[in-house]
Amino acid sequence: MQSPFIQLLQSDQVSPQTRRILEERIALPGYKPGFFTAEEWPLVEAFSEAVLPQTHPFTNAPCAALIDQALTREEGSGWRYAALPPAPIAYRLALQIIREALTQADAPTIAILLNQIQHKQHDTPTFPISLWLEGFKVDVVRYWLAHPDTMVALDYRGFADDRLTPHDALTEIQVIKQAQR
Amino acid sequence: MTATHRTYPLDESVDAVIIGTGAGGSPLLWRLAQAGLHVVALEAGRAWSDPSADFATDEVAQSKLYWLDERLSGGDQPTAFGANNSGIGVGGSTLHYGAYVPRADPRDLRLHSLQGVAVDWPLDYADLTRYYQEVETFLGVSGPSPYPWDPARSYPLPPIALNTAAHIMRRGCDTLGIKTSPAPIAALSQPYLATGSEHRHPCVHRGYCHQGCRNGAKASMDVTYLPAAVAAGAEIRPQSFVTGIERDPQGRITAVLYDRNGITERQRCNAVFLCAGAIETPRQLLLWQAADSTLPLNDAVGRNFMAHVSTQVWATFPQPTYLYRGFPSTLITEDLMRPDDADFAGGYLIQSYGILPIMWAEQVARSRPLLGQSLVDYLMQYPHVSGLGINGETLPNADNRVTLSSEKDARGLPKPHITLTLGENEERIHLHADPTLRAILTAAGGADLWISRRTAHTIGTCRMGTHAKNSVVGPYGRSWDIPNLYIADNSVFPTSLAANPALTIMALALRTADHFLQQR
Repeated sequence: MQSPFIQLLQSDQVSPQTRRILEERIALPGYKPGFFTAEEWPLVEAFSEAVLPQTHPFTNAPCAALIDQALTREEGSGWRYAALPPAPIAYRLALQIIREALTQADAPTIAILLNQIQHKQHDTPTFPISLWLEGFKVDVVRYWLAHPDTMVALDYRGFADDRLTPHDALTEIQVIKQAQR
Repeated sequence: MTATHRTYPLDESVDAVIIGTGAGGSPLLWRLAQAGLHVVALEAGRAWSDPSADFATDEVAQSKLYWLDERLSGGDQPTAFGANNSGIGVGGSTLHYGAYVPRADPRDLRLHSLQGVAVDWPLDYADLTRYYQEVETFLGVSGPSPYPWDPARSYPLPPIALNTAAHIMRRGCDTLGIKTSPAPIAALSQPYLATGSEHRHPCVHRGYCHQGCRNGAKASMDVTYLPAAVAAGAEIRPQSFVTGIERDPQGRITAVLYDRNGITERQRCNAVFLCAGAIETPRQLLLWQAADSTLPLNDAVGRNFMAHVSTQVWATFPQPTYLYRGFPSTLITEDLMRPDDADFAGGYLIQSYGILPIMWAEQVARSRPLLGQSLVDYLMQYPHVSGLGINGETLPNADNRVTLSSEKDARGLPKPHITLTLGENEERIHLHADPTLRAILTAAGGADLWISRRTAHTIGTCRMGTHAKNSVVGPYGRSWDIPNLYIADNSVFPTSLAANPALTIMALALRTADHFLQQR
């Protein structure tokens, strides 16, 4: 018995191009990083999980892998803070700072360190790592929400629009509007 | 586009080359082609031949519609580019715009005369009105007739259906005595056939309007002015990134150089219209001057960059909101354009916000200090959130500007560096809007309110004016420095206006085209 999500995904309510993209995300094979080094990789994965743990609800979005993929392909969002160096350099610098902070004698937990970074306690004039963390958070939430596991958790149906008629959508909006009263 | 696509040889000196096919270049291309001119549009991005098959219903996949060449954003309030305001492809940023098309408030064009700040626009509002009407009719704008804040105004189609975010805003505003109305939206509430355009289907309220409309209901340029321009004899050359110009001894541009699939081509021409937007237009001018130090450019090029104060407030509601369905922003109030208790110049409009999960979550990530499980718990509230936002006046400041950085892009060209530092007037608008938005959402039953301090749209950088000493182009968009160069995009705005810029860009572009035709 297929899950309701898979049934919807394979229905004619989803366009072929959308279905292909979502199925590729479900079926992401074992990933070998192209940008991060073997030493950096576990740290990136741990940091991603600390920013956004995928246990409650259980999801399995490969956020770190997708960040690595974007860095490998030199893909960006069209801008960056001028105060930060280019993304590849910023990532290497940030990971170095994080590793050093986590391996010192009275090292904070990763959650405490995250909080410290967010509150600018590790910013320097040449590298405002809090701005890097902001971008990292953006990347992690983007890839998490783009994953079908998360759509299932949210009961998200926005991608199912291929046979939508004005009547269908208005009926849906009417139902919502009535629920709002 | 079904019309036969006429082409022009590179060695023909065409009447005009138009750089960019967004809200500025497209109406202009159509107008000139209609007049029988030989015109070629150069577009950096690709053409999408079948949006129903080319566009996925997916936020990440559709980032192919955004201008993703990196820009460096600085100043005290760095603004976001890419998905926030910058597009690529035949149709430009209109491929992903929100199609929220209020007209400018007439008072916003006279801030200096009426309130003693900034500058006045070098044109009469009545001059804009007839172009507004023309554009609204051609696009098939859906909106209320009469328009509550301008009773003389009517729209060709009835309003687009309100989504949940709009119903929530209306409920809150009703409680507070703030007047609301369905907003003017450049998408079809009914089937539509404009004279000179193609038949288009109505909106199906799928909600992915910022990811590219799949059925042509949204009036992006690729389904309105551009097919009409091609039918009238214009040529559009996609994947053509302009890299330079050639000039004659009198300083007139004689050819435009561009990179097309890795090969440099050279189109001879008699005039050039630069319509690449408030970042790429000054960047092109600065690049041209970097390659030719004899090119005259005044100091105003790149200066007075503006982005709307665009404070948003979000709240959680007990019932589901399903913001992914329906046209994203469908309600407006202009009651705050000049509030009685204002301690600022200009004003702001408020719009309801439907939003897709990733676009919303990215704001959460930037604006709420949530980490770990608390971040997950809040993001799981997406099905219950709704929001409001403003477009507020941002006054011009010559120190906010576009320059060329020392960093190079993949083409070997300097990346643009943009600075934005907001002033006291913008802060006051924000401080007025924040409690207003909170009060509306609270009155509508919202809880757990939070604010996203953001800026939107790219405006200014090649302002029009009446004197060469403090503007880049004259009142009709003609360059003071290069006689056969015109600019027609959001860069020519002398002030930001509170209205979303697309409609005014189109109106100004037609006005510039008519002036050009009259001068020939």
